[in-house]
Amino acid sequence: MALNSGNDREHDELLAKRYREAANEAPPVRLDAAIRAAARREAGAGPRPLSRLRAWRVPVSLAAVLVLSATLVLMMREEGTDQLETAVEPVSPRAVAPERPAEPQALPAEALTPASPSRAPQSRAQSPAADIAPPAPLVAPQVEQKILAGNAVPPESSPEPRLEVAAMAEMARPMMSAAPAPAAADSAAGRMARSAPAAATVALAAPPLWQDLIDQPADKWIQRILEWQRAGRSADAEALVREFVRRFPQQPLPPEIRQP
Amino acid sequence: MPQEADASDESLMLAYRDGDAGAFDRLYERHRGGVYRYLLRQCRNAALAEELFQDVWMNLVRARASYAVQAKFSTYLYRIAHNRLMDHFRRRDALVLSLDDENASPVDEPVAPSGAQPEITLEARAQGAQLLALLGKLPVEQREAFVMQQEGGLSLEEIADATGVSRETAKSRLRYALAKLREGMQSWR
Repeated sequence: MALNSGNDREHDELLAKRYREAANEAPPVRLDAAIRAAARREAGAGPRPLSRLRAWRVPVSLAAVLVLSATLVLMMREEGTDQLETAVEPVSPRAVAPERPAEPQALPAEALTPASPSRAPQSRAQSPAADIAPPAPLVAPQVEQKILAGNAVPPESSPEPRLEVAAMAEMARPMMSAAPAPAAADSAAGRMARSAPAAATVALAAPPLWQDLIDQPADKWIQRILEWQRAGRSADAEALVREFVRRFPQQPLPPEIRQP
Repeated sequence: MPQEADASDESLMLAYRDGDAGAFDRLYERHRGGVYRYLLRQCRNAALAEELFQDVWMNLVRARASYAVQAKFSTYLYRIAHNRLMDHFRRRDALVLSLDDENASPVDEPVAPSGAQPEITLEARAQGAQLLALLGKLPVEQREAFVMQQEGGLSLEEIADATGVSRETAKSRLRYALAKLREGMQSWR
């Protein structure tokens, strides 16, 4: 049999045919088996490295969030303990007076009436006289409510500090509610005031119960305490007594005033 | 996921990329002989060809995650084989198998076909042996172009793509290879 020509320059059918007939080598069977087994192992090994990373992403993120949260809580607790041990420097309300809304010079008559059970805490927070309305048993929740209500934010404040304050109050809630004494609440407020100036401004912008007594002499304070005790506002009176003792440490309290 | 019998190489490779081991078996069955013979013709040593052959397929297996259809699968596969072969040649650069040496002599004797094919006549078998001997004397690049065309069914463009040269270069290599083979087989024509 003779090979015929007549092909183009890049292909020769007869050469191709002869090549196909002659070239019939194949890889050994053992090699086939090894390669197929390796390919199956790789296919059955599950997701590829990229997918493995993807699968670990959620657990790692959750673990990171948990660690960060625990660290933050521990740090806040430690700071709270420090605040309880150190004296809290009172922040002069004058420093924040320009940011505060106009305050009543005299207490409204209704503020001096006994507490009404139907008054909701939220309405207290929304009212300008909320701070002299019947309070909760502890001061700490009062501070918290003031912060959370957001009404204490001065009008010129941007929304971001308000959110920040709310978030900080949320984080501080367990510690503040666990604090049995008003000192703890004061400490928490002081800590937040130091850590975030905007938050401090907001927290201090809410006028305290004794706002109108700040520049008054001691006898005015005593008079107010007695009024509130007679009116049955024992919690407010006690808070006022504590503030009185803090402001006038040398001033003796009259015997008719019940000390907290 | 079961594949159709006439599923394309590309779809099989995509299926294997997505975890279908059966798709790999089909692909392997289609190309195992061609890739092996390509390596065998180029390195002309059965043991070395087996080693390179295994490397080529394992490279394919390892690269499956990043596989995307950018060319014909056979082009992709022969490019892997070509690159592996070039690595091997570079490592044994001290030997005479330089890609630039047109007169390099074969390291081993040309590999003769192993299996007997009864339907092929003695004359055809003699022609085949003559052809393989001539092929073994071709320069590496020309032999590579011819074997890629025959074993992989690659076009000129695909040979150029797989070997990293221009289409004109691939065309020139293939023309030279065919011309020399025709000349060597002239007595049979």
